[in-house]
Amino acid sequence: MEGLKGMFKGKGKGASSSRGNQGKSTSSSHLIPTQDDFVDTQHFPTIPLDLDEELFSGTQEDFNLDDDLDDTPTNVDDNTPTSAPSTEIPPIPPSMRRGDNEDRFSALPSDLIDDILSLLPIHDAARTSILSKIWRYIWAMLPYLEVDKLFCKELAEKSLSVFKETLDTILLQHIGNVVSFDLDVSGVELSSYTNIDRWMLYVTRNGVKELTLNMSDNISYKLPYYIFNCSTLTYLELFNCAFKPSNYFLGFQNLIDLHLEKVTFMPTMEFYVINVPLLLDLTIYFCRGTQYLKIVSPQLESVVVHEGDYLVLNCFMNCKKLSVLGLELDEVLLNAIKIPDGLFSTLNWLWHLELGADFRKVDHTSYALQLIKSFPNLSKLQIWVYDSDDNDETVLKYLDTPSCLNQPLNKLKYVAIHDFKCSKTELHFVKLLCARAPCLVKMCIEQGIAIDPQKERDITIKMMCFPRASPRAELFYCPFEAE
Amino acid sequence: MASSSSSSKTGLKKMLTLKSSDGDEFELEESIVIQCQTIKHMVEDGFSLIPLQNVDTKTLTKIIEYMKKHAEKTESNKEEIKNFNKEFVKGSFDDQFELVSAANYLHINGLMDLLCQSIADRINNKSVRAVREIFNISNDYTPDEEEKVRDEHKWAHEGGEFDESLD
Repeated sequence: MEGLKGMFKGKGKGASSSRGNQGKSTSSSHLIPTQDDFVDTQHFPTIPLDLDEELFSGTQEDFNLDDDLDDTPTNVDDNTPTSAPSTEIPPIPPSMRRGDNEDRFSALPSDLIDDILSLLPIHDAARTSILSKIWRYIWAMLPYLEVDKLFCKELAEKSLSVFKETLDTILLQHIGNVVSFDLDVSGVELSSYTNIDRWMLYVTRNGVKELTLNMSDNISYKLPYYIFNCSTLTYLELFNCAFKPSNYFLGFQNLIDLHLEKVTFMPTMEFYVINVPLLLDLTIYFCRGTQYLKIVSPQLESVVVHEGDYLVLNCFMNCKKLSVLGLELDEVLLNAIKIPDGLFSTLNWLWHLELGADFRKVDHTSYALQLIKSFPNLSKLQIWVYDSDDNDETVLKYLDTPSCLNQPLNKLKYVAIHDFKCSKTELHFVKLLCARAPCLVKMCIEQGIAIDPQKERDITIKMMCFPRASPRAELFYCPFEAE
Repeated sequence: MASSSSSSKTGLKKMLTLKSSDGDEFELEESIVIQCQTIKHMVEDGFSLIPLQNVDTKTLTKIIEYMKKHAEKTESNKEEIKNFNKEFVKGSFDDQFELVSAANYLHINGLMDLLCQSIADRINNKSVRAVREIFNISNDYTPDEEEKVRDEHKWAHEGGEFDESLD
């Protein structure tokens, strides 16, 4: 174990310095990193290398006047009447013109080749090493590694040790930083997580910025401390993990995007105060133990929550820049949620609300309306209808009481209702919004079920007749389309 | 080929001229062209005639076709755009490489993603021999060297049938 760690570390260090020499990936060619190899650099076709430099230097950012003039003295001399020589880029060398049997793939700039390889399954990408000498280390140096579910599953079907050895080999062969690592072992039944720990250690020590870890459903992988300590992370996506940071957890200092799905926050005496000073996007799907969570994030812009145990909206009280809130909640959660007093006056950046709503239930409906009227700057509202019923008198009665929406929604401009079930209750709801939104620009209703065409016509005719507080409101109705 | 679309329908819209490496000029609305980051920067710097020495007329025509279509993108015509994209990547590889290099140079991210995906799709599950053939990659390894590299990535060469076809 110790030996392996050492190897990883050494390899990573050496390689990162060789990558450093490369400069920005765009303008560089792929280097040959190790000495003991047989590849003879002198026999490299020089075209692609020159091409990279000549063609793509200085084109990445803004145009650089001096560079272009330096690079193309012939241009300026030969074509005197050029209208704006300073903005021109050197022409494509004849070798890159089409029509012959050129190997134009290998001649692409290295960032494009990286992009293409990153779209391939890992074994297809790795096999490119054997295409020709140019390709020898391109895959090994690819900064994005995605080890997908199918790949892991097929290896594990041979045997668990084949799976583990292969993953070890892949990481050992890797050269340079692993900027993005995506591991999906949800299809593998592991008996222990020592290997996962070791791979996590490797990537967190090799500059990982974007980490996705997908564990299998029936276990709870306890996240190792080096993930919590990894200061390079900007994007973290976790599935089926157990979250229990140590008392010394300082938060993720550079994290911008956090996605947690089926993550369990282990019970604790105090809150998990998660300091994420740069976090912009937070998604929490089906997590347990969210009541232990306290997010401190002055920059947070978007929060999306899909049902979990329990959630105290309080934990976002300090996120004053929150502008997008998505809540898809089930009944249990709904009863548990308390909207804290004063939450909404502090969240006056919020302009976009996404809600799931069950129009068969009074509490669901009233909760939705309560949220809608709570944000003073709400301008975009999206609602997903979970369910609705024609004969639900209680909800209809509730929607008829003037107090259910007793104030105008002055900033509301766009409304979209998805999965519209064509019920009386929903029609009432639409009517209410139309009457209460004096600045409405557009309302879009997407029918989510197939119904009788006659009924469809009746519904649209009814909607057209709804009084609209906004004279310029447009109503769009999208009939159901079977897949 | 130089189909400088006359700006009849546009009274007030700001027009730009793109000039290909073959010298052909194309007049386009600014709103269409600014999908391309490189040109957007030049427009911000006050250029209205933009010479593109790296992009020949044939490629530029294709790129303009792409930008025009994608400028029409709305919520409701997603399907149409999808079909357009599908047709758009049907050209020869030479054309695709020409396009992807140009898209990279011009910074049209959507087009780059589209083309990279299309090229990746052609490699997906193909045998090494087929990939070499499709892309004209000449194998400069000696048999011994090749064996060594193959050995190193044994796991990637094992198992599964690889597609030998060249399409």
